[in-house]
Amino acid sequence: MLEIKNLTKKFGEKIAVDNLSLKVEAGQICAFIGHNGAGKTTTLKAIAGIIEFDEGEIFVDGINIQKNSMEAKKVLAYLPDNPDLYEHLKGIDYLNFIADVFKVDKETRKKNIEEYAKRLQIYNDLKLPISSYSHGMKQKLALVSALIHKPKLLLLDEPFVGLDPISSHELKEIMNEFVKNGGAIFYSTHVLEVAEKICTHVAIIKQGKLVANGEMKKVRGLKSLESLFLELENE
Amino acid sequence: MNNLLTLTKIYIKQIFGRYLYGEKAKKRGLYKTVLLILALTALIEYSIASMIYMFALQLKEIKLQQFVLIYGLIISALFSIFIVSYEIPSHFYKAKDYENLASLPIQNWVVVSAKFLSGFLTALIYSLMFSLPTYVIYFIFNSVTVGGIIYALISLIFVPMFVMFISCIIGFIINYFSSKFKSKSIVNTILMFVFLGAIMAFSFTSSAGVLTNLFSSGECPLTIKIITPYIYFIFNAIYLNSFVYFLFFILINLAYLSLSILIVSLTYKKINSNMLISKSKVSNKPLNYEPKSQLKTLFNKEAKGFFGSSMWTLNGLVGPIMTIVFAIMFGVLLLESVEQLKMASSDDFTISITTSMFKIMYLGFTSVMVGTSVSTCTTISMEGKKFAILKQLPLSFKQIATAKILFSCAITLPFVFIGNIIFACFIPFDALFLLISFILPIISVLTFSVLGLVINLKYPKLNWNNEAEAVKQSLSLFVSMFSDMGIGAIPLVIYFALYETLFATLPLILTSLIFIVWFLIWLIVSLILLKNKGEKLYNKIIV
Repeated sequence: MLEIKNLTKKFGEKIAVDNLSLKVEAGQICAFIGHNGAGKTTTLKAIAGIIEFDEGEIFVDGINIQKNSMEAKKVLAYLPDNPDLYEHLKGIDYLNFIADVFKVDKETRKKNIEEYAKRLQIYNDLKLPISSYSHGMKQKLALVSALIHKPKLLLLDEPFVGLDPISSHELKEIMNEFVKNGGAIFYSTHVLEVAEKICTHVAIIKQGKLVANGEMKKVRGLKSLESLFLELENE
Repeated sequence: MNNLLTLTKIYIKQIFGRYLYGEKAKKRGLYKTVLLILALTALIEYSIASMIYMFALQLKEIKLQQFVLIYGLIISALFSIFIVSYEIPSHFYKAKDYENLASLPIQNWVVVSAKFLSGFLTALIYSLMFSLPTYVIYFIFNSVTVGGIIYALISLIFVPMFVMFISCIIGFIINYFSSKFKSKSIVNTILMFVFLGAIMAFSFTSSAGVLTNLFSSGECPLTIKIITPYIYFIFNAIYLNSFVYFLFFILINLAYLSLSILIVSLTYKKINSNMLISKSKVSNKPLNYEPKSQLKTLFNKEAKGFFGSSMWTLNGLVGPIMTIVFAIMFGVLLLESVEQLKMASSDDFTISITTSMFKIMYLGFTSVMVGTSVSTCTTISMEGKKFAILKQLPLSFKQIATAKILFSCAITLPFVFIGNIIFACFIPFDALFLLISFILPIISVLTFSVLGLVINLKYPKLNWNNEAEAVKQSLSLFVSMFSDMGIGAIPLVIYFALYETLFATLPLILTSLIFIVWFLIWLIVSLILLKNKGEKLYNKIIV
């Protein structure tokens, strides 16, 4: 579902992502972990087509994001770490805006919005302007908007930050259902315990370079993910 | 004290730093940037000085040249109030840093003082644009005394205090009332329009009144003594070389300063806290899931963003509203001119060419005016960090650009059309002119909207702290405004330059066609720029 080949992204002299390659197949949840500034968000933004990159190729469901970004974007959804949404819109207006962009028909959007907004406990707030939302509510709204068009690949940047325990639990359920239905999830996180529980795969990035990647059980072996991460960081 | 200095430095850097340390400035180098700023300043100062000089010459003829000081300082005050009162509200009351600063152990007065100092610096720059050449011209036409020069130099720093005082009052009233309403932004926009309209109306009437009084009595008018006593005091201090008047001048300015700080200190926290409280009520209507086309939904998003920001609305609608004012102004002037020609028993041909000249002037000035405030020159900047949303969605650049350009046209053209209808009421029915007056603005507005978008893509400002940085102080706005004014003014300049030799006898249709072709050329150039450069610039923008 997602294939990154030799991705390199520079910001001036600084190499943010250095020759990174990895794959995430349908049915997999891959945790993308690394310290602050390691290059996680840059990688996610490059996959989502938000920033251009210097070298390498990214394929989403076999579509090259650089050569055919429109088609690639149609099958993915990206949730930023700090969702800056259109504050002057109401929650429902924002969701309709996203649904319109993805050309989601009335019945499907109604069904999906109702389902996910109710599960994430934001349905009753959809008539309010986004400017009145808390960080967690914005996060939930952005999550619903990411799921409206039933993407094949979910790119989530720190999705659990700001969520209350019930919504956190619900998000884990949603993520599991999503991959069971043939989707793939690539998400960055610092919550290693959760990643260990729900992820099938893991990728660890350090100073822009991928230092570990593969099936969760194989990568961590007998250690906990936290021990492995600390070990790699101290190397 | 450390906090005050640090905060002040941050705000000053925030306002002026980008001109010296921004990406473009860094590429250009500090030396070249400073030179560029100095060259631009010299150009502006020269233009203003020329205007004041012309007025001083007129005053000299009636031996009242000393009053050029009063005239210049009134213009300086009105101009600065017009600009600063528009910026101050967002500087004090809607800044994004309120919550952050409120959570820090910094006293309220420190934050207010730091904001005041940086705001004062802005007022000082605008004020100096007029006050500095005013003093220079004054001393050219009047006797120079050491005391007078010292008073003049010191007064330059004090003159903006009145501007800050008025701006703080306006900012307080607008934000105090709008913070109490559910639709804060709409109330804010309406009040801002009311105040700016009042300032403009006051500018016209007061300057006319002051001049009439000056010419008739040869004394400093009573209005000046009552409304702007600081001008009266500094005028007498310099003209009479009087220390007592200078002392009065300093004292009254210190009073303005104290009152301004007092107003903001007492209201800063309360208004900003109110701004954070949402007064929205949940309606009972069921949720609407009606689908829209991609273009329509992008257009709606643009409209809600535009009208959701009082500053953007205000900035974007000033030009279009002015076209209606122009229509009335040119209409009245045309009627008066025709009346005078008839009284002077002029022939029909003279009346006809005068009417044609007014029609062309109306079309030309309208085109210049719409170019000064197209929404596209700030539309990318106004996306701010939300720009990432557009970039991650399966939307082509063409779709995004189309929606933004269409919206710009949609908010501008209705005003121009209303202006056309109003102007048409002043002239005998002329179907051809009416047709041209509808075609030309469509082309010019489209041109300026496309060009504005290209310029904003070239100079985006996404990491702003308050909307004024994106809407009013961005490089994109200045480049766009001056380019548009240049494009709009060139055909007018040529028209007047060649009026006697060519255009006076050329039929209206041909002259209008020249205007249309001129704008069409620029439309094609702008579209080519958008097509070839726009998407590349769009893709390069990093959020």
